[in-house]
Amino acid sequence: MKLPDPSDDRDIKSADVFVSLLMEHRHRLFAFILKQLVNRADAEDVFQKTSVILWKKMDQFDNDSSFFHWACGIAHNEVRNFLKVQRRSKLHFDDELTALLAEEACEEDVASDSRLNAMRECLNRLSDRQQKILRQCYSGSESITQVAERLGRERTALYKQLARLRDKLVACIRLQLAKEGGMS
Amino acid sequence: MSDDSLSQIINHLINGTINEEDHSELQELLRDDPQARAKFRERMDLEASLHTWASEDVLEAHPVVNGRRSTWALVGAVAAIAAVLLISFVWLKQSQRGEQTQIAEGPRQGLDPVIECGHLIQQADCEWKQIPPANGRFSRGLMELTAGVAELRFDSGTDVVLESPCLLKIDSSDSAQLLAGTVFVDVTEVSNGFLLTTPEANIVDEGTQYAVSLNSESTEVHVFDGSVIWTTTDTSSNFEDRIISGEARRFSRDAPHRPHRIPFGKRQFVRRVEAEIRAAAGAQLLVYDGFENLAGKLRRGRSGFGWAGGWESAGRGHGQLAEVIDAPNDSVFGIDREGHRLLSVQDGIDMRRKLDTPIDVSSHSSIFMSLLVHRTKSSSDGQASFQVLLEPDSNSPRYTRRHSVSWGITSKGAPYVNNAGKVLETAFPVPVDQTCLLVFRYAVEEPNSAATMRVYVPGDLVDQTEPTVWTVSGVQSARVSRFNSIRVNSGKDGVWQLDELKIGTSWSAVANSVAPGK
Repeated sequence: MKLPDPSDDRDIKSADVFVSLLMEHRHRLFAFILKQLVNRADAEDVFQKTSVILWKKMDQFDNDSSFFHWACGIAHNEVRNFLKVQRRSKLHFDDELTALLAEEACEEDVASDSRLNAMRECLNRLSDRQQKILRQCYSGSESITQVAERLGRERTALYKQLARLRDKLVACIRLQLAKEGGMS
Repeated sequence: MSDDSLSQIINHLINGTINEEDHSELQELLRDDPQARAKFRERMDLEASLHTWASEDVLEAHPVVNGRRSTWALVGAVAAIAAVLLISFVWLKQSQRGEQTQIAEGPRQGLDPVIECGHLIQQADCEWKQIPPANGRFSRGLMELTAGVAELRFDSGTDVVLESPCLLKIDSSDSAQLLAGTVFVDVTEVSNGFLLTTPEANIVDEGTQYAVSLNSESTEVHVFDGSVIWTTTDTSSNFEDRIISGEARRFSRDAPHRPHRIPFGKRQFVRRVEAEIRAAAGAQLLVYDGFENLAGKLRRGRSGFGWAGGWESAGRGHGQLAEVIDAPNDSVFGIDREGHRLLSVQDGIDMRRKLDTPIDVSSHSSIFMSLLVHRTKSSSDGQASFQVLLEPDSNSPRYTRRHSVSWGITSKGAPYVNNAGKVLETAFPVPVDQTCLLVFRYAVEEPNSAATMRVYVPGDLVDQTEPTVWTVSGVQSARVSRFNSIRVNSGKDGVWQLDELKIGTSWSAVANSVAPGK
């Protein structure tokens, strides 16, 4: 990798372009990784490693091609590397299924963003309390058990409520996308 | 599989509560069914969207923390880039000056590099002086643990357990500096090695498990498995010392090139405790679990002996098991528990651990099992029972259910035994908020068996030999041939603390106490 020179405008410009591309694609790239690993903490780890490798390999990126599809290839390799070490300690999908999910997920860049936007609309239809619960379960590193303890609630009750909220959101997102004439 | 079932099983997968059977079934379905995969990806998009939304929400609520935004988005994108740029910058400086440049420690200012090195597993009671890492990850820099026990799972495959008080500086995913306190290092089979340094020495593993304790005067190294090589950081000295499994050394910090052989395990490392118990009880103690899981990870299967692996959920869930917590600094039935751990069972937890070798009942006249049980006040309401099952060696869930032998305490506190469906309980409840010793006996009386139990409350003298009088006695049923797993569960309202689980072939092996702390 070519070392960046802070005094060189071209390097700064290159970093700006990279940051811009990564920020633009970060959600869909995270979703791509999550579809293979499921666990959010694992996906965050791989996302970070992928970000560094993407930067290192930025000079190999063809500006005329799709950044997301290029990033998918690198991210999938990182997923495979991660699974090699982690497979022994957790339940993970096997290589064949992971590759299949990656192949299909790589074609869902637009879908992931559409679903995110639709979900934002759907969240507005939830009560403040429901939104607060979702925020507490998804914003930090706490497990559901820890969140339940902090809220003074039964863990199983919180699991059930989360399941209901997810089902509600999935149904709403489908409807929202259908209204917009998009995919569902 | 119906949509509802698929949705439910995906929820278990996301929650981390899926069991192996369901996971296999889901994997097969996803492999074969494009529609199921489409639904799965839709659900995962929702997960990713909620994650993105919640992170953005934090960003809006706390836009800048210590001069930098503290969200995954920026940590993931900007900080990663900043890290690369800064590493490159430091590397350039090093190259130019031809000397080492140390990256600043302490709270990060601006866009300092965030080089993550692994996962942090910690107990709820952990207290840190140095700011603990976020999102379950730790990065380079100082970590100071002032209370509790935590485990660092380095990405390189090495696990390091910190016992408070402990000051450790993380250098990379495969190296760290111990500055004060005690660590237990497990260089697992997937690791390429780990370098632990102290101010005076480098400790290089050779595929091993070892513990190092550093105080102001000396450093102790105890090697449990494999070997380590100790070399001094003083480059003028070529001193090198290989310490092998079962050996221990003390090095004065003033003279790190002068090793002193010390008794192995003089310090109370977990493995030492278990070794003492095994030695004291002899071959008649078949199975033991003191729940000395330093980082509270029951699934790792490291605590005790006589087991085939760790504790697993016995139900559908793959998630939370009982919690390992610090034992009180007390002495119960001759066991000094200062610095020890115990198992806290609540929320209707149901878990199982397989035995390394099934216990062949026919070759013994009796099987004994003992356990320290603490019933809390909150256990007196609702479904607050506690149960231990010895499960027969069978692949049939129906047979297992019908022929399991169990014992425990009812919601009202009454001890009971259940010998393959035949139950006998006593009317006298065990006291609340006190630790009792329960000793269960499964006696073979061909072709039948009898299940009995003796309960000792605080103040009782534990019989040195098998008693003739039992608290619950004599419920008979057909004999089971072999037991191959132990299952522990509690009612959803029960709060129990368990410690010192033992299974043996004699009364003395399970009921006679040892005091490993003394």
